[in-house]
Amino acid sequence: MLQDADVVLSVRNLRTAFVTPAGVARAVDDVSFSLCQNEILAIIGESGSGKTVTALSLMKLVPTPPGKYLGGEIEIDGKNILALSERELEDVRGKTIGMIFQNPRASLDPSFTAEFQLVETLLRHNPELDRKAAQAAARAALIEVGFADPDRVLASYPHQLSGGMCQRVGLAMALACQPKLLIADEPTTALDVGVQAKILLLLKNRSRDTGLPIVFITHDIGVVRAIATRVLVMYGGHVQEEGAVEDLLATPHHPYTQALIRSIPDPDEDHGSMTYIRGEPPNLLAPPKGCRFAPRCEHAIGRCRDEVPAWHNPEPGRFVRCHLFDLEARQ
Amino acid sequence: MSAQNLIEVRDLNKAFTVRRGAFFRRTTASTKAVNNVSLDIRKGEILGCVGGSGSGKSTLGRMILRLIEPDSGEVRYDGQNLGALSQEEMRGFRRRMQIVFQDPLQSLNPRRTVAENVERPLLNFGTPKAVARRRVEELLELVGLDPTQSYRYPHEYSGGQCQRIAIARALALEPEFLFLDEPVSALDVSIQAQILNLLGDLQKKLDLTFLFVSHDLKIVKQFCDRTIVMYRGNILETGSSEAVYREPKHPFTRDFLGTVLHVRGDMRWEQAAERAEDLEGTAKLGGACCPYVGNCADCFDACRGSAPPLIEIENQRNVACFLYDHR
Repeated sequence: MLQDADVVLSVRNLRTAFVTPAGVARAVDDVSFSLCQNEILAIIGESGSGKTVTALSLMKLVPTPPGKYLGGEIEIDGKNILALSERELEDVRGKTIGMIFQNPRASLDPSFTAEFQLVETLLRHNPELDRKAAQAAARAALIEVGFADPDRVLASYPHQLSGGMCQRVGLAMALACQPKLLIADEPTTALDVGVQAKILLLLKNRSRDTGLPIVFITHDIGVVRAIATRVLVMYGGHVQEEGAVEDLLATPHHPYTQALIRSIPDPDEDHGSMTYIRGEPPNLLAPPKGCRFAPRCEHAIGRCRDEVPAWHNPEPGRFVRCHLFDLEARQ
Repeated sequence: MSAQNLIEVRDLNKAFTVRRGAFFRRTTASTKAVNNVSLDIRKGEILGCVGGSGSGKSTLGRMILRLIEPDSGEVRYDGQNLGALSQEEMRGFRRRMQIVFQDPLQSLNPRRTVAENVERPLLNFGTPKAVARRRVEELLELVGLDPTQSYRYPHEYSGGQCQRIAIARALALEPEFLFLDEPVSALDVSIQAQILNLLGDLQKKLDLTFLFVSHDLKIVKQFCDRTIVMYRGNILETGSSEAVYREPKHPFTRDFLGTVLHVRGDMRWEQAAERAEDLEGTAKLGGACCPYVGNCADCFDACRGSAPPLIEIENQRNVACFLYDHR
């Protein structure tokens, strides 16, 4: 949308699908967005909304087969990711793009110490470093993510660390190579609230201090409110709504976003039954012909079932994919 | 025994030990999962239990069901001390108390159809097959599923639907008490509310009593009548859910509440995050002291000398903290 000099990531019409015996599941369908320095972009959605496949596509990490990139472009730091070879990608992943995942243990190798893994990563992406310098950098990276006793952590194997500690080691590893972009896929979902808050604060401070742009995948709107600057709402493989975090959460435009926010218990309201979204998320093998949310939408009109809505721009900085905002058609 | 209590727990203890060595197995470490816990669960109430991972909340629930044997202490169910029962006698009580787990896909048998999963407890207790099948249809309808689809397998259902199946199975023997062990933590937010509403409706309709374990204070506040707050195996605070949420007394509860992220929240969580305990950083506590002494902002000398008992500070409000102990 904007083409400023500080755009780090731009995604245009990304379409990623999975070819299965039962048919082609369009997990990510025509997704476009961009990300600038200092921004934390939250991609929010339920399971099956396409948020994780979007994140994996950014690093070309979707396994092919069964996955297939049907089209679109991903430009990160001037490189067209989808056109790169596996060999070239090895230099991009971990160096240009840092990543952390939901299950912190899964991103560490159980048979090596934290130090070995950190040093290995640093040496791989910084050939000018010698082992001594890499060890010092590994130690510094651990201090930066809040470890008071980095030496004990360096000597530990992943099973000797708690989930929150593993996630911080993973974060240290992701940040140690000074990436241009960080992709965080539900990094705090498996953690306790206190540890979650600590890690979110770390990410937020890092982005503020160094300008590091972050793509943050989550299903928790509380987390979005806490750290994001901008939000994409995904449903059924489509981006349904986009906007700055405060505006979007205060006045959600898309009926799906509205329903999603309503379905979260608000402890400051009185005890009562919770509102929820009826029905189930769409089957991506046979998605609804029109708007993906139409079958569950309270406001659906005839058009919603037949025609995929176009993007509408009801106010500056806000985008919504919903026929209700098609003002020309309404007049 | 008060007539209104369905379950009375007294001085329950459980330690898990770590053993090393192949031949001469020796205990190298021991963790108190549940430490001298006493509580009452009233007939027809929804009692919430919140705490972080490792706070002992699941262990407590499982000991109430006698799925884990306590080291010491007593669980009285409807006046009967469960620990004194033989396995055979216990079987009779098993019908009356059931459990729903966090991950429905793991708790349902993937090789059995939905109908076979739900009818299993009925067959175990000697219900004739034909009767059980009819009951399965009723149960599936009760939880909002289509009984004509019961020949399907669990993997053909979404997480929320699987949790409905697990609830149907738990209700098969018409229990009066359900232990709900994080029943919505694995589900999407829009589905969480569906399942909580279902559980709430069932509780009223069937006059059930729930123990609801969760790490999500927002949900507990919304769903439960009373709340107990656990930390490292100890109950630190109890009260009506409203009171615990609005006026947390124990410093731990306050810190814990501070890190809860709200949709309409402000940025106060950032200070709470700075204060939040580094579970990994805190040394293991030795000797008698308050379990929260390592991270408490208000701790003073008495807290390091002994563990504060859980005392009633106002009506229906119990706190284990020397700040409120004016004896």
